[in-house]
Amino acid sequence: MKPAPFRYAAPTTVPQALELLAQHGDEAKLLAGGQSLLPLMNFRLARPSVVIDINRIAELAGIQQDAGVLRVGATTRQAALARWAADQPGWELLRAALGFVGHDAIRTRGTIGGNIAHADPASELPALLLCLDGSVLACGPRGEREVPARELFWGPLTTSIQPDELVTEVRFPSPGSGAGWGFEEVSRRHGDYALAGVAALVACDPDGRVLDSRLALFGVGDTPLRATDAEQALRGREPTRAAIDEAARLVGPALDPHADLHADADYRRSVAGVLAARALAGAVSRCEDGRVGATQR
Amino acid sequence: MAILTTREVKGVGFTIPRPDGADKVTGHTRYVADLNPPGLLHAKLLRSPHAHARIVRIDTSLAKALPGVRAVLTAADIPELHPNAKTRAHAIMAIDRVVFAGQPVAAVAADELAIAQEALDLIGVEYELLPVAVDALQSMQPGAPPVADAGTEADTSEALAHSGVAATESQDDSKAVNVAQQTRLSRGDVAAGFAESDVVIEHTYRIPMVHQGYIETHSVLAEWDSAGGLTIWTSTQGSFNTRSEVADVLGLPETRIKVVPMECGGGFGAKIRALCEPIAALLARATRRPVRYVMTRREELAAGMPAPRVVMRVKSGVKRDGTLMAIEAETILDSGAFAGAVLTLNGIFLASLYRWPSFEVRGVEVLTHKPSIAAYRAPTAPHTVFAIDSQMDRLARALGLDPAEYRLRHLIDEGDPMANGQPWQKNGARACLERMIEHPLWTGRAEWAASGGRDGRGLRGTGLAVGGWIPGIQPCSATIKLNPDGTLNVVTGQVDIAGTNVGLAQIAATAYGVDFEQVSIVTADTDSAPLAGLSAGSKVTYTMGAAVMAAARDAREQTFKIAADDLEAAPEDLEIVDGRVVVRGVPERSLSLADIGKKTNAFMSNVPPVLGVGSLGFSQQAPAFAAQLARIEVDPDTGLVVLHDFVAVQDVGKAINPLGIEGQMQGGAVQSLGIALTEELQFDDDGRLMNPSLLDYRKLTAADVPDIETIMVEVPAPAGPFGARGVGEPPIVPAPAAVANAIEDATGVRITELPLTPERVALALLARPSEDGLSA
Ligand SMILES: Cc1cc2nc3c(=O)[nH]c(=O)nc-3n(C[C@H](O)[C@H](O)[C@H](O)COP(=O)(O)OP(=O)(O)OC[C@H]3O[C@@H](n4cnc5c(N)ncnc54)[C@H](O)[C@@H]3O)c2cc1C
Repeated sequence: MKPAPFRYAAPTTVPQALELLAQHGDEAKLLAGGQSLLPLMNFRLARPSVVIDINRIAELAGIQQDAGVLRVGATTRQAALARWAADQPGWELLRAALGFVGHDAIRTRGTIGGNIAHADPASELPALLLCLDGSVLACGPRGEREVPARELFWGPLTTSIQPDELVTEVRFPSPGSGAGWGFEEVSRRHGDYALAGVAALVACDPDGRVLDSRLALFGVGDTPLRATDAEQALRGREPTRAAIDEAARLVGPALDPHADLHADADYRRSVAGVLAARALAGAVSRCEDGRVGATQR
Repeated sequence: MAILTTREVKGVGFTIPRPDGADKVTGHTRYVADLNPPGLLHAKLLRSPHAHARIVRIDTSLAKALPGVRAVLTAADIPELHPNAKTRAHAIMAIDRVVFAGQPVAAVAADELAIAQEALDLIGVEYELLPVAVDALQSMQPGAPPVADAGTEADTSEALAHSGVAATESQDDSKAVNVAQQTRLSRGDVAAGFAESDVVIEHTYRIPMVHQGYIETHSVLAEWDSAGGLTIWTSTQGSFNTRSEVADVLGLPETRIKVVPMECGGGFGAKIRALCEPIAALLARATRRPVRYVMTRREELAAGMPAPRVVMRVKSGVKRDGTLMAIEAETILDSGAFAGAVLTLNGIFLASLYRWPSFEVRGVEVLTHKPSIAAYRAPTAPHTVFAIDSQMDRLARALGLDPAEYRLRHLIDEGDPMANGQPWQKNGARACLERMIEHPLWTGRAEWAASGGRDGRGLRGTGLAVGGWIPGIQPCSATIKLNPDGTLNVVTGQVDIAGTNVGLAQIAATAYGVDFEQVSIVTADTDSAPLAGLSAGSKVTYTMGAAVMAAARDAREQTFKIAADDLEAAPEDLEIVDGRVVVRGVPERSLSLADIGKKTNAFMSNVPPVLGVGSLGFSQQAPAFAAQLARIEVDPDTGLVVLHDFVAVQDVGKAINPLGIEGQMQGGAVQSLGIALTEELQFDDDGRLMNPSLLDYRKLTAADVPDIETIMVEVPAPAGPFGARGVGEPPIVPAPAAVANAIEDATGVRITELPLTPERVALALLARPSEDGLSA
């Protein structure tokens, strides 16, 4: 199918884009990579009367590292960020997560801002942002505000970004040197959205005890989620296999995943626990030597 | 079949890339959707959102008033439309009752596609919902909501088109409301066989509806001339068949219709029968303009003609030493809203792929309120072999016997009776299996299994399966002419859906005595081509190849006759060497083929042109088999199955173009693996398709499959050209069984329902008994 009729605008500056948003309100949709919006429009599940193409706003694309925070312009392509991350020590988790986003062709068009703003609960990057305690920068008629990931995701395809706001930047804080990472996902085919997935970070003190552990889940709820009980359970402990398993066992029961065409709720709940254990074990094994001490036994 | 050439020409047996490949992958090939005749109108169909409903009222006035709309048709505008439609093509549109979600209820032709689309939104249809029968078991019950109009005859021509194997018995009496066909094949005393068995295994196998997944959706362009002649450009697997069907649907003399077979971007069985040709023709008639209709992918998935859902309960009994005793089976084939399934082959493979001394297999074709089915590459054979091969694997395991040896011991050979009493023809089933069990992946299966389950690895296993098809036959003819430049030109009406024209050129080249580059093949329309059959049933090379070979030999003889006069030699003493007719042993006495060609085309010449004709009928089918092996790893905690290696062995009779066959073997294997692992049309309780996009209907992609190793064995087919047999269908058959067997090898768990999704595998693993030492 083809989209219902719409008008098209291609502003070249952020103020112009905001102006258009203010003018058309709910009727308008921002177009970034189009990898999610255009299928929705083609299936006529979305029928915006105005499409505001933000790809020509030069200032929206770019990658900067700034005091331990990676600032990624909203229209930066997923592929561009993956290329950047390919040889950046400390950003392996980002690289791993991007590798699971669709296929090359999709990452070549799809943007970081679009992916976050789209807020698909099965999407990797929102969970990554949550795992890193990141944020987005949003611009609107009331000015600019920074929205922490924890306050961003409200529901499936729903965020706290207002219809008259534009995401200009996505901020990924560095996991910190020495922290280990893990990323696990189960999908039906290569490049499919996850049935369930987990991003994990673990940092240990010089005695090998867990200083900080973070576990973000996707595909198992209305939004990406932090498994706070499991995170707590591991803090201050030696990350033995038993400790990890114990923590991971807390993951499933806390979830209320949906059942759909692709998998049942019980399956998602159970797999989330399995993947949490694997991601945590992976993270622990990657904690930097010297800071970790003996970990796995 | 000896061909007299002194040196081997570049012909049969050479590996030749498809000459049309570059155009295809660079988008230069023209398909129906690329045709843009002046005055072209675009068609769209309004399709029912309900699976079963009475049409109370249709209001097209708003749509007709939309500027740019040239015609809006409903059933009331189509005098050719009658109740009791015997095929989907005859049921051009729902008359007063829709019987599946996606059935057309109105059609629009407009200046632009967007206008046609817009017009659909303006058509008001009032439906009165009727109870729905989505599941075949429910649909078979007395009192189930009816699907076909009362008194509709089941259409069995598809079964015949695909495979000429006849049923011996069929029961017509006491049919339940939605039962379209019943078959029964039996021999011996089954009850006694089970009574004497030491081991009896019974399983129910379930395979959902799957879609063929050709890249080009159904597409057609129709135009009438002022004399009342209809021309149809279409993506079809058989132009003459399309012509006959459209003529029948529209009540036209066949020869008033010209079908131009366009490049066909895949069909796999779904483009045998007409589908959208009649409605395009009717819109063209109503508007007196050329009308093009191209189905969307969504329409394809929701309202195409997929493969049936199949449920088979199979019970088999053997002696402790492995001796086969009895098999009893019941197959329910869910065909959706119109009948036409290939039921007999299911019974034949269940009962007589192995030598069961007694059997009773019953089959029913059941109608439901879902899109009706068509053939899909060896129709129902992947399903049937999933059942019978799983069953053989289980029996071998239960008896502690080697599963491959066990199959070999009981596999049929030439001359063994098929379940319908006809003898099995010479075939390579055994040769395929024998070749496979020598493969290092099979001989090394114990090491593979032992390497699993530790160091973070999943459980590892290896499975193989053997299966195939009995390709069809159909009369056909071809002509071949010698051009003034010495090249040859073959004309057939055979649609090339698989690179078969390369093979035909190779056959002509070898049979005539030139290199294949000297031969061009033209696929002509139904007005210009000699009669040809369907490009289906794995029979193009087997049948049309034979006709081309006969035509080429005829042309060779004619050529020699002309040269013989000129060279003053007997035709028997001539040969063709490097494009020249030469007197054997006297190389200086020769005449080039171009010289001969020119003589036959010169003004005032009396030499008749060389026109070879091959026109053949066939009576002998050549069964075609494949064995496939899957080496897998199962993640016991998530149920994910990772395919590490895949090997396909196939009996091809004689490899005319090994590269083309390799493509068939790999493509078939990927489709087979999709049926095994990911594919399923998922319907909700109201009969609506829940996954009508390729995001949610999952075909495997290049990223999902390992490199597929192909091994050809050649057991010549007695009647095949150069011994060739059909190669298109066998490779889609064995993989589901091979993967399920590998999963049991890895985990000890047998799964009898496809696809083998992670969830299904995980649940099966959870349910397995724990005494085997593996944690659940
Ligand atoms: C076949 C396929 C497979 C895919 N698989 C995956 C996968 O596995 N994992 C995954 O994460 N994604 C997947 N995607 C989605 C892909 O990553 C999309 O690119 C992404 O979700 C949206 O990014 P986009 O730039 O294309 O945004 P668009 O499609 O252009 O927009 C998406 C939505 O975000 C809004 N939006 C865009 N930019 C902004 C902005 N700056 N400010 C505010 N709102 C904005 C739009 O208005 C729209 O509502 C897949 C897509 C396809 C087609």
